[in-house]
Amino acid sequence: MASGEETLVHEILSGDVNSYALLVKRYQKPIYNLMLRMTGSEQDAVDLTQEAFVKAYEKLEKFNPSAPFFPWLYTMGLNLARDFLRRARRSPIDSYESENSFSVEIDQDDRLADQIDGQDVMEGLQALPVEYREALLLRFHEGLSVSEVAGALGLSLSAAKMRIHRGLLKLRQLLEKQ
Amino acid sequence: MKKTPVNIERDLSRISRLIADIRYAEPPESLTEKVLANLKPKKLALWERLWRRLRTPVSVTPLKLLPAGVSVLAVFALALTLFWPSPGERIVTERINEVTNQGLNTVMLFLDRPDATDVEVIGSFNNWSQEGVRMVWDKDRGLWVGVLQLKRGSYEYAFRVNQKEIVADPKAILLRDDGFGHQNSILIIGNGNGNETRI
Repeated sequence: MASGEETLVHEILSGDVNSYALLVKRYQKPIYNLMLRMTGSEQDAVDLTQEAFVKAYEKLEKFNPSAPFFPWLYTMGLNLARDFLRRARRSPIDSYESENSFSVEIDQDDRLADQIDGQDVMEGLQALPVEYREALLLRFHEGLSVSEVAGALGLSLSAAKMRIHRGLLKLRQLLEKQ
Repeated sequence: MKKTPVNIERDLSRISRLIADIRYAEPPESLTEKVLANLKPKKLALWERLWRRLRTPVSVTPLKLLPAGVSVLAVFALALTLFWPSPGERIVTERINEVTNQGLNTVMLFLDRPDATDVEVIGSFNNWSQEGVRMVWDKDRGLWVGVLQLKRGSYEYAFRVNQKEIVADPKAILLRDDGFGHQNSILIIGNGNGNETRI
């Protein structure tokens, strides 16, 4: 668990809303970007991010404070986004491009050497099925352990390992086609 | 070039590094504030609080005992102050209770500026009037203390030091640019039970 989170959760449950502001500030960026990837709409992403944090606060009594907070929050966020898309009868978007969309810092020398650039990876990720895309982002961008990825996505440890490895292979396959 | 297993592993490694380097979009600045505005402070039953306290691991080292000892002394000193207040303090307490009964929340703000000679709180609670709320130097705490009585809502505020210097609350988590080169602190008042959130 990130430093001090167990104490923060204890303080929140004891009535200190201030401490929850720290958790919101710490995790609003990945949750907001999850919602952006799922909906493709900045306004929907803001609304769903708020909803995810409010819901997590309301259910905080059920959270095991010795476990990491982010995977638990992320599961809630992902479920909310799926419910939202189901209600709107929409599929997760295939691609999302805007000035505020994510971008990649590209090391020019490495790009020339490997012929895979950041833009390709971004596009490839958006073209992947959600379950692979999110597994890859949780593992490599958020830096979660495989067991935390498994917890966040409701998978067994071996299934999470497989999901990450297959996701990488699928992404590579997509990049080869590009 | 033909892809060998070594090349594939190299590609996968490169891809994972590129995923790590993705730069995310920034959420709107007001997001934390909006989330907090929808929350009510939690009220756990006493047994639940005790149970959670017992489940929270505590590591004790001699060094850590020192601040704990200081805290116990501070609480003791505070209790003494509360139970034997001076006549002036009694009046202030009564005034706070009276206002609280009218549905207002009492909020205390602190500023650590021992060099200042005069400090006021200014803010959106009185439309940024030049007449700020005067803060009082508490020599025991070594802090400037200001008391506000506010309705539920979200407020921006700042401290005016020595009638000219505008400073944001260093304890506020969220600040907002005022468009004039300063930053304001944000204060959110909850559901009328006296629990304020300063973010």
